[in-house]
Amino acid sequence: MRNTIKQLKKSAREVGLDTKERLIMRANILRAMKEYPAQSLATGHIYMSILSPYVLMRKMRNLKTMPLLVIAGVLVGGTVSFAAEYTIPGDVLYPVKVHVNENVRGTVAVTPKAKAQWEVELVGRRLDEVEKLAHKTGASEEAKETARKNIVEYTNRAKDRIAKFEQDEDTEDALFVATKLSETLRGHETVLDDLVFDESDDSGEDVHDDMLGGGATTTPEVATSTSVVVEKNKADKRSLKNILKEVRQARDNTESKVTELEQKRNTEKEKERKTKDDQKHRNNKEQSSRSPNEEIRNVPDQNVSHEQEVLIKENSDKKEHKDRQKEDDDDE
Amino acid sequence: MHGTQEQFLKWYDQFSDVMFRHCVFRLSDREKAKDVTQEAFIRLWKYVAEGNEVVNARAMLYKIVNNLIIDEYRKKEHVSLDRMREEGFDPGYDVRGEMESRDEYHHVLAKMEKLPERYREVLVMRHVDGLSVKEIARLMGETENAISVRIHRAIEKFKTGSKSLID
Repeated sequence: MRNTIKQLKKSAREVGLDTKERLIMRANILRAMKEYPAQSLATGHIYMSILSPYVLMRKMRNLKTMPLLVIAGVLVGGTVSFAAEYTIPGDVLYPVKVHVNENVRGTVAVTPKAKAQWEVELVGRRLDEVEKLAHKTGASEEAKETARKNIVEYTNRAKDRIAKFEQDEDTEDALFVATKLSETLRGHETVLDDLVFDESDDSGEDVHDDMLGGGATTTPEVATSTSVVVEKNKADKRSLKNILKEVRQARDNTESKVTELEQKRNTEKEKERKTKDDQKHRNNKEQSSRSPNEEIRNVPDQNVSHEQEVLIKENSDKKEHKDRQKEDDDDE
Repeated sequence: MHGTQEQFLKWYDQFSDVMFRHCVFRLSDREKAKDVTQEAFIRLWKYVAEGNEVVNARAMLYKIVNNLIIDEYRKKEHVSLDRMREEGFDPGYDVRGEMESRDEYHHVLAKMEKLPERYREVLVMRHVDGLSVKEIARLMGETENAISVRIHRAIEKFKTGSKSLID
């Protein structure tokens, strides 16, 4: 009996979701959360964001293009800012998410390291948006282009933070942030890779063939609309591939930076260790060595003649005798 | 309440593996287990989004997962794992293990499949999920004694059908 249960438990330990599966499932759940946002005033439950309406209003005074409807919505308990959290490029409330919610959350980060970590988190949010956009049917080209530009812009902002740490010779923080950025990019690259290569590249053509039945039995209208669908699918895939290319490049660059910073840190540590060792060695040497005068006295000068050597020795012996006498006098 | 979404995602991080593992051993099918796990979390979110309070997320997830698994059984005619393997189907072994573990795993799944569902449920909760008898009783709304007896019978049945594992 024990063996059987032992084998069951052992098998259980072998089972789990891998990172890719977990990320994909998470992305799907996030999408569902967006489709079913938490209820607002209607049932008396107000899901407030971290923003109070008054903070929001102060922030929104600077946003000249903000529609009045949204501003009015802010006064109703911050529901708008909450709803904006799940928006993506192309959605009406997307500007609220980026220019209001994220600005306010950014103020919580006080230290340079915390600010840099927030920048990395923003990169993650932009990448989440790309994944959601990939699942959205009928997403505009403009929205996709915005998403692509966002990836580039926000990644560069995070990289600027890393460069600033390097400038300040803070290799540890630079390395920490670069590592976090590289992990974020790699995690999302895996998901995007899966989305891009989910179906074969000619899946649209398969649909086309199926519908046409390989012969002349399909009407021209069906053939045309199917071609439109196929072309749309291809265009969607192309946009996603372009974004994936940006993400891959950013990840490559960041990983190179991580390697460079690791080497720099190791060199600095080695240098520090060597400096400490040298200092220690010097201290030890000073304690155990004879006085410098004795050193000079005992080293024969190669250019001095024998007579001069004798004279030098006599003079130094006399000096030694005088010093000894002085010490004796002092003792008395 | 602003932490609702964050809290929910924390539940996902905390319980996704547990629920997935539970589903694998109940359904003997990795892909179905993934679908059920995902659907369970989505249903939990909908429950939360409607304004309901969740006191014990794990208990709720077990309830939802159990209902979904029952739906899976009812959905289509149950095909035995052995027959599926004969036809070339791979129940999707997690790539972590060695060849020996892989065979053991398939064997365990096949044996689990032969167990009646009421025994499989308690056996998985006890020896895969690692829940105590008390916890299982609370989750299932039954007495500890009833659960204890059921687990004992489940082990006997599992053992009876598992002689080849030891050989």
